[in-house]
Amino acid sequence: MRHLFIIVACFFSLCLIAQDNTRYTTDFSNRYVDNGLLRFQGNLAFGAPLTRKATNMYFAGDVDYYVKGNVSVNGGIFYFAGEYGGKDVFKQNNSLFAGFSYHFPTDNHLDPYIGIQPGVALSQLNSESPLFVNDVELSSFKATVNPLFSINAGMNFFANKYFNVFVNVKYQRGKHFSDIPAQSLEELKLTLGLGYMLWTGKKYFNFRKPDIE
Amino acid sequence: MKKVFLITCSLFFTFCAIGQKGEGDQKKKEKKDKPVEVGQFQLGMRSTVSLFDHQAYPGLGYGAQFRLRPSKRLNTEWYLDYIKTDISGLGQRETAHIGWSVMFYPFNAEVKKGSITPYIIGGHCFDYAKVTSNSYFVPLSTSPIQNSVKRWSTAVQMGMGANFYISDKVDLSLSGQYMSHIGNELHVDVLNHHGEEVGYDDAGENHLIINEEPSKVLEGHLLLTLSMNIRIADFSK
Repeated sequence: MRHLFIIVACFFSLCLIAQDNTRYTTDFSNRYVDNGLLRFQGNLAFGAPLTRKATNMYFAGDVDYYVKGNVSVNGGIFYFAGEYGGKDVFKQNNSLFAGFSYHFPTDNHLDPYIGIQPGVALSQLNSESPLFVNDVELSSFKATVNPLFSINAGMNFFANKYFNVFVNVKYQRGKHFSDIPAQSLEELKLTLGLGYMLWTGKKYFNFRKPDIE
Repeated sequence: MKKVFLITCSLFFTFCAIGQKGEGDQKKKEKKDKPVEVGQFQLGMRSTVSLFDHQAYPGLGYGAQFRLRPSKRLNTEWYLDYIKTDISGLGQRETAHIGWSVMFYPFNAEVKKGSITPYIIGGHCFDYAKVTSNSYFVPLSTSPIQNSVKRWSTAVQMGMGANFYISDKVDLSLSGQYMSHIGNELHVDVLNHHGEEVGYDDAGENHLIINEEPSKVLEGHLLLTLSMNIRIADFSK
């Protein structure tokens, strides 16, 4: 699973470099992305903790608003749905992020980007995990709010007027603090699926970009 | 003589009038040529890493800020930070900063896409700190014990950084500031289950004892902050 993430990350890095090199040879007149675009999505996401063997599942959602100058302002939420193949370390592992992305200019409907998102985790250890057998009498296993830092990279493909497909890889770093030793929240999260968009702003009509069908 | 006096007076007042007019034009021109950076208002998110405190535990935090720019070479930053630090797996330190800084741009101060603007930053903040140990049992006790000490203090910070303008409206900023606290020091000692003081990283059956002590030296730490800021208003327009 981890190798898959690395391959996907390398692939997108190369795509980004390739896209960036084209900027000096084209005028991006066919670029789909423009300011005023509001993109949002709700999908399932997978997480691979980097300090233990497991796969986390999340219900994920995010919103991106494109402003001038290849930049978007965005926010995202990951609601923890469960852990598989591990020791059920967390009962709750939800997170909330807000930040910015830089979108590399292209001359088509592809939209590669990188971004930074600080965030917070609302997390709670699972008292029934075999990892905490010795801590059951010691800890109250309460939910706590913990700082996170994340960087992400991905690609959107704007397929038609209202729909896009996307893939996003996020690396997050942080720790869960409670009344027993801190647990790492370091994780790679992969989200992919169908997204939606609306064109907002005065120059658009009916939430659509006029010349795009 | 009277004529000469009158001519002199009229010339004098003429020159005064021309001078006033020129000054007025100059003022109008200055007003017209006011740098575009003046009055800009930015909103941003930040991630902060706290390093090299007196007991050398690194912490990670998040926060938010806004910036209001009174002149081309001066900017002000008003921020809120919340940092959590792991103390050798035996406890945690929570720190909240609310404060302001002034930023001076000695070199390039131009706000436009691709520009890098280094700055010197300094300011003041109010600081809330709470150090909590993990739960532990002591001999003959039936319920776990947790130590906790909190304090309010003020602090001053100084450092340098740079903005990188990704676009005309959005910048990415990286700064390093050393923050010195003016107030009591929160000191932790690691004790083993016999109650003997041991090394900080000697984990196992150890627990933390936290003391608030009058500071003999200025307690401080280095804050590395990465922030992203977007201009949402321009008060000069």
